[in-house]
Order: sequence, then C-alpha cells, then structure tokens
Amino acid sequence: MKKRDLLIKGLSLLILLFALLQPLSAQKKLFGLMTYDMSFPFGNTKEFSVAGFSWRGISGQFRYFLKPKLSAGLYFGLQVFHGDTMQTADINLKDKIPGAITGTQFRYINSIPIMLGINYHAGKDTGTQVFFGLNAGVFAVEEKVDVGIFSVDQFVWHFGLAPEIGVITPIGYNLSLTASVKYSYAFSAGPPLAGQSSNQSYLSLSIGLGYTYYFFPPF
Amino acid sequence: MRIRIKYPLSLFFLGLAALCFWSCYPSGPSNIAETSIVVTLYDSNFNFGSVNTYALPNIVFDLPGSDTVIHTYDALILSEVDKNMTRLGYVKEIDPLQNGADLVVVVSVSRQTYAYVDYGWYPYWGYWPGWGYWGPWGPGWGFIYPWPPVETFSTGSIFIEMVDPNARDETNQKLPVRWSGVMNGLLSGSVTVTALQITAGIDQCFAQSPYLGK
Repeated sequence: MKKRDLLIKGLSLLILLFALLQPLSAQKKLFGLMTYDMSFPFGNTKEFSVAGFSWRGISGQFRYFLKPKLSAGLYFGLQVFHGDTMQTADINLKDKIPGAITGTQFRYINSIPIMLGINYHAGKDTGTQVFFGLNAGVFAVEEKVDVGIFSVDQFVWHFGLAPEIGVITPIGYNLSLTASVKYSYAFSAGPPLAGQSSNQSYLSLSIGLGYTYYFFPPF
Repeated sequence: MRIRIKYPLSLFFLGLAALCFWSCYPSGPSNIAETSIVVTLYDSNFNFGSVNTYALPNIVFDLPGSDTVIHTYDALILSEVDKNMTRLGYVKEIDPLQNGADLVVVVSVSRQTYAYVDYGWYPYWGYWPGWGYWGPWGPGWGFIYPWPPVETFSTGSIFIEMVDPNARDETNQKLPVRWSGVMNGLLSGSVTVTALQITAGIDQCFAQSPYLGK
C-alpha cells in the first residue's frame, strides 16, 4: 500500500471518529412546516367579509429547537375571506358630496400574519407530539369593497396574537403530518371601512406537512 | 417501498400547491346583473322641499360618444321618472316655456364599453325648445356638478339629472345639477330583464334619496 493511500485512509478514519465522538447535545434541530388553513371568521372579520367560512389559507413556520421540547421560530401566512351582499350604502364623495349606492358588494379581507412564536412540544422526540404555541407579531390586513365599477380598499398593519395547539406525527424520512387549531386576533388599527371596526379575529384549522432537519452548528 | 411512500407524498404536494393557487383567487361577479349599480348624489345645500314644479323634456338624450342606443324604453323610462316625481309631491309643469319650473329633469342614456362621459358641456341643448324660456342659451351651455362626474362605465347606463335653471351661471354658461341618479348595467341582458331592471333601478334611485319630496 502506498504511503499516499495510507494517509487518505488515516484521515478518513479520523474524520469518522471525530463525527462519531461528537456529543449528541451539540446536534441541533430545525422544523419546517407548511399548512393549508381553513378558517372561521368572527366579529368584525365575519361582518365585513360576509363570509361564513374561508377555504383559502396557507401558512408556513420555521421552528428552531432551543431545548428538546422548546422551540422558537417564525410564522407567516395568508388567509383570504370573501363574501358578497346586496345592499344600499351611504357614500360621501370627496368627504363633501353625499349620496348612496345600491348594488352587490363584493368584500374581501386578505390577512397576512408575520410573527415570532414559541412552542412547547410534549411527547417523545421520535413519536407523535402535541405542541402548544404562542405567536406574536403583526397582521398585514387589506380590506376591500368592490361594487359595480367602484372600489374602495385600505391596507393596515395590526399588532396581534395567535395561540396555537396541534399534533405532529412522524411518517418517515424526517417528514411529519401536522394538524392544528390556531386563533388569530389582530388588535384594532386604522380607520374602519364600510362601517366596521377594524380589529380582526378568526379560528383556523390547519393540516400540513413538516420536515425536521438535524444539523451540527459550525461553531 | 420508496415508491409507495413518495407517490402519495407527490400527490399531497400537488394537492397542496393546487389549494394554494386556488386560495389566491376569490370569486368575483358571476354575471352581469351582479355588476348593476344605482348611484345617487345630491347637493346638500339645496332644499328639495322648496321645489314645487318640475319640467320633464319628452326626450331621452344620447350622451356624447355613445354607441347606438335603441330607444325602445324611452317611454318606460320617462313614465317611471314622472311617476316618482309626482309621488314625491312635485307638480309637473306642462308648459315650462310659458310658466317656467323649479327643476328640469333631464334623462340621458349611454351604451358603451369604457365610455368617457363628459359632463362639462351638454351638447343637446338646442334639441328641446323648452330651454328657451330661461334665456337665449345656445348649445354651448352645460351643467355644473358640485361633485366630480363619473367618467367610465362598462355597459349601458341611464342618467337622471335634476337641473336648477333658476340658479344658472350666466358668465360661465353653466347650470347647476342638484341631484343625479345613475343606473349602470341596465342595457344588458334580455329584453324582459332589461325592462324590469329599468323600472326597479329608477324606483331605487328615488327610494334611496329620502331627502327628495315636499
């Protein structure tokens, strides 16, 4: 055996030994999650959007495990509420010309949560886990009313909270199925549109797919 | 074994992607009737209770730039306007040329796609001899709106305007519009539906204007 081959084999063995001797505690865990969200609107969200239920929602989360059962991360998403209603509404053109408009109003709410969250995971790391989380941050909310050729909309940032409870079930290959219930509440902000106060709230049922990534931090 | 796992996962991802795309596109109006609107505006400084008489030119005008309008419904439109004005307690002046009137109700129609409706000047002034009572005005006279005129309509529209001939601006040759009712989308659809929509639309114009009347 040549000297060069011996050197390569020796180095490979050293690297393997180094990797095997790494303490398990140094291994870090990252959990990525993408969910399809269905939501029940409440209060002003329901009144404004005239929607009883929204099938249009998607969200994502990244969780970094600070401890085996405690993670912190980022939560973001989009939930669309839509409905229509035929009614007569007062209008005030340029804030000085009064009048009224009658027609079918198509109403929309696009709610985009962007939050930081902390989650507690109960259960074995390799088995089904139940998690409890609290997300806090902002909602970017667009409210819009279309009637005939007229349209009025506004875009407002809200502070808000989104507590969540859910289940994570591993299905292999570091993949997991998830199901959760999340209550989103955006505090009042901005002027009311169509006579409704602007705080928003809705309850989301989510199903999704998660991926767990294990890694060794570089330092 | 790997195939059995990956295949459902692929389907799951495809389904998720489809749902995501679908979620971005809420439905809008599904037929032309859902885009029909009735808009009314009024001059809040004008006392409609002080009005006693009105004149109603026996003609429905075509707005400038309009496509060809079939005037099948002119009689129906004028009749509905007349009926509503009478119901409000206003008295129709049969001979405004001799006696004048507190308001003149002008009815116009337009059938266009993205038409520009320029209210600045009213080019049909000379078509109705009744205007002559209030002065020797030429066809250059137009309306003054205390509100910005609506500029685009996508389908057929009917415009009802209450013009105040007694507050005319001689210098600028303008007439103030005290009340304006617009029905948009009414010239689409079948004949039966259109006739019903015209009747309902005109009635709605007056119904949503409770400040009108004696």
